[in-house]
Amino acid sequence: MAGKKFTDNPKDHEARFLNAFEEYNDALFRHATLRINNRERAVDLVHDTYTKVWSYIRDGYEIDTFRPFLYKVLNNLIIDEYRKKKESSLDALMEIDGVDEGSFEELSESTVETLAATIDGQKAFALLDELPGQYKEVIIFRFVDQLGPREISELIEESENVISVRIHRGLRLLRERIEAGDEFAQERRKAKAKTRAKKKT
Amino acid sequence: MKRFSEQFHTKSQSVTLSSTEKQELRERLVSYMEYHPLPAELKSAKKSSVASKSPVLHEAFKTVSLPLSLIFKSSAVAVALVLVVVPFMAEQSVPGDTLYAVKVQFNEEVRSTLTFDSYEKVEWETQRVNRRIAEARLLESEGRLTDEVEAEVAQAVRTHTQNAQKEIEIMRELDAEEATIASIEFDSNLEAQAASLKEDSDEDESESAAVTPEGEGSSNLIADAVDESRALNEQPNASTTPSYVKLSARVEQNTTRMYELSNKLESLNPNTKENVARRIQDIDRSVEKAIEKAQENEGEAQDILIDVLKRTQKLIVFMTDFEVSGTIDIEELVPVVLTSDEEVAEISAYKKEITQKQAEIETSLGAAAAGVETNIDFIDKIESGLSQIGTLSIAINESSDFSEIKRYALEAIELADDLQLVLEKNNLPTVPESEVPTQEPARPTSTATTTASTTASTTEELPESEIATTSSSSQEVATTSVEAQ
Repeated sequence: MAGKKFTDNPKDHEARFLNAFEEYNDALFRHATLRINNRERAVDLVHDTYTKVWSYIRDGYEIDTFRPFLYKVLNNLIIDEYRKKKESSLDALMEIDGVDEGSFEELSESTVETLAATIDGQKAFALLDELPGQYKEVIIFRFVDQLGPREISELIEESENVISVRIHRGLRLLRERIEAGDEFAQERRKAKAKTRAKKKT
Repeated sequence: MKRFSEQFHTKSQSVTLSSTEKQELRERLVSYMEYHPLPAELKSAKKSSVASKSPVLHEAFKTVSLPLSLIFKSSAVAVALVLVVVPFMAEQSVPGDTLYAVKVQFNEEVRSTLTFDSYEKVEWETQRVNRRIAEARLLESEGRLTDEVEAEVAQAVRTHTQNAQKEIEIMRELDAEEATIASIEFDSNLEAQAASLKEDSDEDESESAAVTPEGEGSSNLIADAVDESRALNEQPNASTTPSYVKLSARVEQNTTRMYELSNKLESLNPNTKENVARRIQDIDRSVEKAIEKAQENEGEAQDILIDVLKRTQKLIVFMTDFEVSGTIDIEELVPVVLTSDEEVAEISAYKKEITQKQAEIETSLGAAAAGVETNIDFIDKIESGLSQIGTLSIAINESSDFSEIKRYALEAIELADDLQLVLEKNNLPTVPESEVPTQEPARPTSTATTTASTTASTTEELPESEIATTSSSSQEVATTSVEAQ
């Protein structure tokens, strides 16, 4: 019944598609930018995402919900982008796939929450780039795009467990970095204080 | 966790497209959509649960269906275009047009390849000559006839004539009579075209002579080519006389064609129509005569039929080729043949005129003789002229052939006119007397000999050469006496 509503009139398809553009272009752009650290290229990727989806519609496929589909297409394009850009990062990505999926305590959502509660969100965001690709990816999907682990698992074609473990590890890495950063800052502060004291004396 | 998520999320919201970037992106996308519009009918059957499958991978193995039926349809249209529309359009082209080559080297060649009969081939070559000349005329009327094109047309005329001759030669081996008929027809056609072309170039020259002297000679190249072709064609013409049966068959065909054409002539002006009708009647009469003659003298009948054939051919050219009919007078192409009644009427008119002139000359001669100091030689001269007219009128009475009678009558009338002129000049008082006698010795001798010979022999016909000398000498007298003034 929902199908009937838009199938016959091309105008309906156009309107739905443009709505999807208005609704998701910003989110997609944000995701792309955070993933590839290149604003202009990110705009291109968003454009390519929408044109691909449009060709898909032209071929007669009907898209029930745009959001996951758009993310899926964008994700594939980003992977292509990685392949083009730096072979090594993909290799690294593949290698890490083989590591153990982690302990039980890492897998529950609640442990993630308790862990997340200990992290400063703003600082974590600034350190996002320092994370390895696979953690960065899931963190962005989870906390920027606010997708659930199930949605993420469908997008990157991994099990929900793997997604949860990656999110957990990603957060732990972030906390470590933040703490290291804090220590470093403290040391620097101390060092500065020392030099000031020396100067005074 | 809430704090972290919120902080992280709000922080990430700082990464956003600027409004110009967004606008630009939207425009790019909309124009992409315009260039790749949705098909009118979407294949809604292929519904897929999008998110669960990999659409990108799927796309890589997408089947592409070629619209074969459409391709076949459009190729049929293309073939039709090449084989039908283009040649059809080419028919209207003239030298210098893009499609002219298609007309000459495709349409016409195909047609001549499809013609198997040699006679038809000759006819087709004839038609091609006509077409080339018509094209040249068309270009000329538009002022686009360059020397180059003219040379080309002349060359084409030569080629087509050669082709026709080749065919005639082939025919000659198989059927000499048919070949002769074909060559007669071809020749008549060329004659008609040549006559019309000359008329054309004469007009041109008189026109261009007034404006630009170097402009003359257009159409001359073509006219030369036609003449040349005619000269080539005439040689084998006399070799065999086609049989009466064959000739009459061909005449039958031509007359049928002629009638058809004349029926279509409705749109032309009544004058031309009348003229054409008259020629057709003439031809009919000649044919009847030939049929009559066929019983006793086949050779004569054949000659008549050949003549008829030529006339019908020319008439057909006149009627089919509008350009020819526009430039040339029908009388010049196919002269009127008079009926026997008309002939009788004309002869009596001639006779009447001659006797009237004779009487006039005699009275004025009498008056001159009665006048003062008239030269005796002069009177002699007039008298000998009169006696010559007398012999001519005797010849007229005795002859039965109309053309001969006509010739004699015209001769006599001319002579009488000359004499009257001479008399008139001599009666004028201002004429110096001495001048005339100096001219005398040459003339009386010649006229005397001719009159003597004609009266002595009393044959029906005067030898042509003598007639020529007498007429020319009398003309000489007339002109010299005019000069003498």
